[in-house]
Amino acid sequence: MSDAPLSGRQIRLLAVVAEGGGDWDARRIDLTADARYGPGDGTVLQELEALQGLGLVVRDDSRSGVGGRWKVTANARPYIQGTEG
Amino acid sequence: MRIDRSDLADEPDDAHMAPRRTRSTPDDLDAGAKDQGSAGGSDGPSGSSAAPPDSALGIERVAAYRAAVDAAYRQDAIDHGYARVGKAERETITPATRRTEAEAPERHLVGLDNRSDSGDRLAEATELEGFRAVPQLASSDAYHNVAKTAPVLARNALGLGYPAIGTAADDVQTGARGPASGREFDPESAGGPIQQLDAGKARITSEGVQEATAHLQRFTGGGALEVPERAMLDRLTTIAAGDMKPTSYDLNFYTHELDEAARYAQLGLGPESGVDLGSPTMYDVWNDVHTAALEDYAISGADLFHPGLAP
Repeated sequence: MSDAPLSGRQIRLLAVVAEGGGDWDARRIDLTADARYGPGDGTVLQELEALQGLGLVVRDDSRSGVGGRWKVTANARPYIQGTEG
Repeated sequence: MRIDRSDLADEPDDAHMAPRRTRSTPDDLDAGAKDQGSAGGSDGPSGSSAAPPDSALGIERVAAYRAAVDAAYRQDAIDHGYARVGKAERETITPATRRTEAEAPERHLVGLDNRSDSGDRLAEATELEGFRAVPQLASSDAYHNVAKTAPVLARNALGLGYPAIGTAADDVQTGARGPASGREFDPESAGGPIQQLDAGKARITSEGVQEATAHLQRFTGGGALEVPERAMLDRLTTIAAGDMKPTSYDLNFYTHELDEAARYAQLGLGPESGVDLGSPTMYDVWNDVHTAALEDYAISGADLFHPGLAP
């Protein structure tokens, strides 16, 4: 799944998720991506879920966090070029 | 030119969108009925109700509703002087197009008052017929950006897109894209209509900063505030003490958080509700409220945090 073609937006979002190191919830990821890159085509949660479907991020609902907390998987590493936290 | 509603009305999936948006079009239906005598083929419900897709699906209520909507939209199309197009242009609309429109609203007068401004904008006007709730968000002409809140595709469980044939109407969500923020949200679930507010008129007080702080802490689940938010609150505290002049970012952040808190309260989710705003299930609520609060002040997410403190 890691060789799936990603859009620039998806790669940037992956980098944001990686920057959070698994501690950022969807709201924080949203605020960050919106401030840096502007909004996407859908909501950030939808974008994250799309990346989840590609096996690039995983959601953690075991802790409080709006929209769950997200972290990148090993499959995402080729896309984020060392930005993973 | 984007969408010919008379075509959309022929399609069963469009009928599934009806309960949330087209339900509010009794005037259109009335108009369509009144004008059917002069509409030639606009008395087409019987013809359209026999369309194969519906027969195949056997969704009788959809067929009945579709017929009524079809007549109304067909009449509307005739009234506006354009013919039915062979292919629904919604299929060709890209998110980028919608984003461009949001960024340049002056080119796309989509309000009902503007639906006959020009031929190439007729589609947007017609689209608004099916999304009447949107222009009601801000009827004031002065706040033109918000008044032009752009309807977008319906959202279903599969993500953005028009609902698939056979999708239950209650499963379909619709939304809008705020022209100032560019964000998708559901304005009907945002704690009230979009307003036209000016952050520049706000006065930052210590009481207000405390309220904003309390609001933001509701997202933390008892943990620490996010660093950018803490930093902005520190600036606001300094400003409230009279030790610093506010920038537009300070005013935007301050008014945004207070507005957002008020919108949560309007939804019955104020502090007294005991609802955990930081719950994993609360993203859509936050997105709607947050985006509406951005639209209230006609700002984007990039306008909230002081440079250097942005997340």
